[in-house]
Amino acid sequence: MSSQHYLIISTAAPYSGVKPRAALDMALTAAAFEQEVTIVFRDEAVRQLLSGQETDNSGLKNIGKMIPALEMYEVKRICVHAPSLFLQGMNDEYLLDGIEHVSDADLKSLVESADQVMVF
Amino acid sequence: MNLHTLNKTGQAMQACLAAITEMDALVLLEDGVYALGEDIGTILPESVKCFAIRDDILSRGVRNTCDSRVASINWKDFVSLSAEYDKVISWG
Repeated sequence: MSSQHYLIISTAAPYSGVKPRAALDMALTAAAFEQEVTIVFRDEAVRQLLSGQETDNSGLKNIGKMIPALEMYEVKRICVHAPSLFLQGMNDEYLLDGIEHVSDADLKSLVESADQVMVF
Repeated sequence: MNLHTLNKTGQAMQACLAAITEMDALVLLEDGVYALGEDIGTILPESVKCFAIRDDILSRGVRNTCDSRVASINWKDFVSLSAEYDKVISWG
């Protein structure tokens, strides 16, 4: 199978339903099939990148622990939409390590250049 | 050349507007037709073609908000459009 560039855009807050998990599963699956994958977190989805998520008592699957796994499974770029981060009142200090910033213009060119774009 | 679809307004609409480029087209469907009332016709770059599903416009009673640059289409037209463009991007 020839490799395509997949752009996954995650827009939903963590633990808000099936969407955040679906985006991560899609990214992991595409990467497992040796596709080039970029995932971008925007709007409330930037909260998925918060460090210090503790789910032991809630019984939820810890999204904060799944994000570093993306890199391990060769998801090439893990990005945060910088304007969304600002609007959520957050900065890098709140985030997990190794998250790349993208601007509106960066996101626009990613949408343009990717072979497949999926929004969750 | 991409075909963007929008089935609601709010943040999904803002994300779509930020990503759309001059040669692209936009299809409004389901609750996305409410974007017509938010003057999406004037926000979009001139060169972006804008379509809306006729049945969704009618059932939501927003025919009065359609301006001349928005072409109303049926589902068959939508299928043709999705074949015409490089990729389809559904903004939720």
